[in-house]
Amino acid sequence: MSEGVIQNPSTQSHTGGMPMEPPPSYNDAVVRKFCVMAVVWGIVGMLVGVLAASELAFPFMNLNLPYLTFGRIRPLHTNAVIFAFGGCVLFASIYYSVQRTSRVRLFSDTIADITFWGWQLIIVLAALTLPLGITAGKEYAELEWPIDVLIAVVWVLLGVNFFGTLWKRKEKHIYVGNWFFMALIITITVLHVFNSLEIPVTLFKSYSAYSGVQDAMVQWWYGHNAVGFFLTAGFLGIMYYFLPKQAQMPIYSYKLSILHFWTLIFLYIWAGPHHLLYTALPDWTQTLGMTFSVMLIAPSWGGMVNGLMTLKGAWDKLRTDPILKFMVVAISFYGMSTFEGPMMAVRSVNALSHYTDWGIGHVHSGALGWVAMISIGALYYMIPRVFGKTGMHSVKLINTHFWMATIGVVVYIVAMWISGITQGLMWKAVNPDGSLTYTFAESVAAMHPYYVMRLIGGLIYLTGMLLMGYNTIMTGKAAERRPA
Amino acid sequence: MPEKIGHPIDGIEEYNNPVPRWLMWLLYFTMLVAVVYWIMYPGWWPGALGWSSAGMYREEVAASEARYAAMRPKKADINVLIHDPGAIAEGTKIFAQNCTPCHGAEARGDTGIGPNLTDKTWIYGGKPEQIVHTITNGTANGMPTWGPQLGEEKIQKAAAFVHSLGGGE
Ligand code: HEM
Ligand code: HEM
Repeated sequence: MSEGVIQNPSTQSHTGGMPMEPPPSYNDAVVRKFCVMAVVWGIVGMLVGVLAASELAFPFMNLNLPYLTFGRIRPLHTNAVIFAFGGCVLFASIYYSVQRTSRVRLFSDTIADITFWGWQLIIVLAALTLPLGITAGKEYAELEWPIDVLIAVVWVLLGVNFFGTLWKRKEKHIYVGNWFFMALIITITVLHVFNSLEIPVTLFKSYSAYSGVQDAMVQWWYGHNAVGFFLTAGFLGIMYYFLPKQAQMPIYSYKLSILHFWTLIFLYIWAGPHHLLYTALPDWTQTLGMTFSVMLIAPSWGGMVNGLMTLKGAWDKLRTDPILKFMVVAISFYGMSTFEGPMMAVRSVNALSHYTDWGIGHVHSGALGWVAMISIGALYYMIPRVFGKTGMHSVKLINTHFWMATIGVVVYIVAMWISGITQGLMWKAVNPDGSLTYTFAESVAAMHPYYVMRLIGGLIYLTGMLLMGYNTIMTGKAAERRPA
Repeated sequence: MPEKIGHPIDGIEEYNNPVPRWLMWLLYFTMLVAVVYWIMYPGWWPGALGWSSAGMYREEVAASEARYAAMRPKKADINVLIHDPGAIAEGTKIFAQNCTPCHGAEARGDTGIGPNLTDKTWIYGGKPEQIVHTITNGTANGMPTWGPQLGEEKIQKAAAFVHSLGGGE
């Protein structure tokens, strides 16, 4: 345990016709730390999400404390689930799979540890500054400039470690999962640096280097590609490694993976303006964003098809293996939200959906359905292995978790679809004399039942995460009793 | 059995199945949609339809002007409107949508931003014409200039409502 080095026997059997080599020793200690923190931040982030949801249904839930008001809790939620939970899952999966698909130990154990502690420091700083109201005011990039600098450093170190490991790899080919991780690491570096260009005035306050509509465009070029590369490419990399491992099936099509990889990363970068339809952004830029979003359907579905077809002939495993269930439902939600997204990017649809809860529903079908479900699947795969066990403490609990997550996300999304469309229609309704039929406050009141429903969905999902926490603790404890 | 690519990496094998036909057709179809859209709408050029978002705004405003202008009382007199329950009811809504953030839901000024409008104290005068004037032009103390936003008709109705609160002269 103290070394954290686990000899992985499974790698020997797959070297096929290669000459016998000593089995490589992998750095699984850092993976273990990231896995445990992913579970912790998953629970915390979703707890804060539940708090935010409860405030929208019952405003007194902010307890009249400035630190807990919705405006501060909301960015805390998004940062915690995307960058703390999602980030730790990505670090864990990248470090776990790049060593195995390269058949070498990580480029540097020291850098790996620096990235772990650095990332946790960033998360803690975010959790302190956001409730205090310290914010740069850009969505998904709220953290103030000193933290931005830290993020850039840690992220580049991840890049050094990842590319360094690939550099000394013992496999001729770079596995497809790693292409997606490369795209993730390179693109997020560029996006983060350029979107965060700002002029510091004090330690806790800075102003964006851009102004007006240009600031908005840079923000959504960043924001959309945080979705495209952080929440999509990164998690597709996870799918490409953990799905065939768990299902023990070959990837369906190498050709398809090349095609959808390149079309996806080429098209995503241009789609940002669909967040700014009907704004001061020039019409031609809006057209660009809309059409590139529509063209994104097939490349996105390429990932879904490759995932689902990989299971062709292995569907029976789904009945018994809850980890595969998580992965399959995740891939299905990915397919659904990448169809919904391009539709919402169509000007006339966006005229109804924009500013409404439909957007929130779309976000969470991607976030809870795709990102969180594929993450949970990958974590359940990695956790026992990095603790030197053959399986999680309880498979039954994984199954219960699966059903709670599925029900939770469906309740959440259905509530948001209904409330979103209701809102959109109420805002557009006019009386025969042309005046608005409803005041804004009336539309807020009409949302109450759906906000309660969303809160219930969120609570169910969160309870599933707590089961995962318990299962992880028990697995870790068993490993301590009988060290591997 | 479809052929496989290379040798397994960490035990993972890859088939080299062809890309499903329907997926390629979907890609080509969306590309066609994009090209047609670029021809019809502003992008590389102003677009065959001559559509623009600013133009759409102007058209919608013109259409609603044409539709609702006839319904409007020609030259509304504020001193008549203050006795018209219909106008006061509409004024209530206009007030709820625009004025409550500062003057409070009950118009008692309990937000601490705008003053109480239900008492007898008038900083800028409580006569109907004076109330219209204050709303239209705003004040130096922070009351916004509503003239360009609401237009004469809505301001008169809002003023009729404010007058009806009991404090008006
Ligand atoms: C128990 C689970 C969750 C609950 C109850 C929850 C609840 C919420 C609530 C109430 C909001 C604010 C909605 C509004 O402003 O009207 C929100 C926003 C958001 N959440 Fe969650 N959430 C959960 C899980 C997640 C996860 C796992 C992710 C990402 C991986 C996520 C990503 C986001 C994002 C990106 C937004 C901002 C959406 C936007 O600006 O359009 N959430 N969430
Ligand atoms: C091809 C794929 C996709 C397209 C074209 C797309 C398109 C869109 C559109 C048009 C909006 C609404 C913008 C607005 O009206 O303000 C939106 C919002 C959003 N989408 Fe997607 N979407 C896609 C996939 C996804 C996926 C897979 C996720 C999550 C993992 C996701 C996360 C989000 C988030 C977080 C927002 C809210 C942004 C905000 O306003 O804060 N999207 N997307």
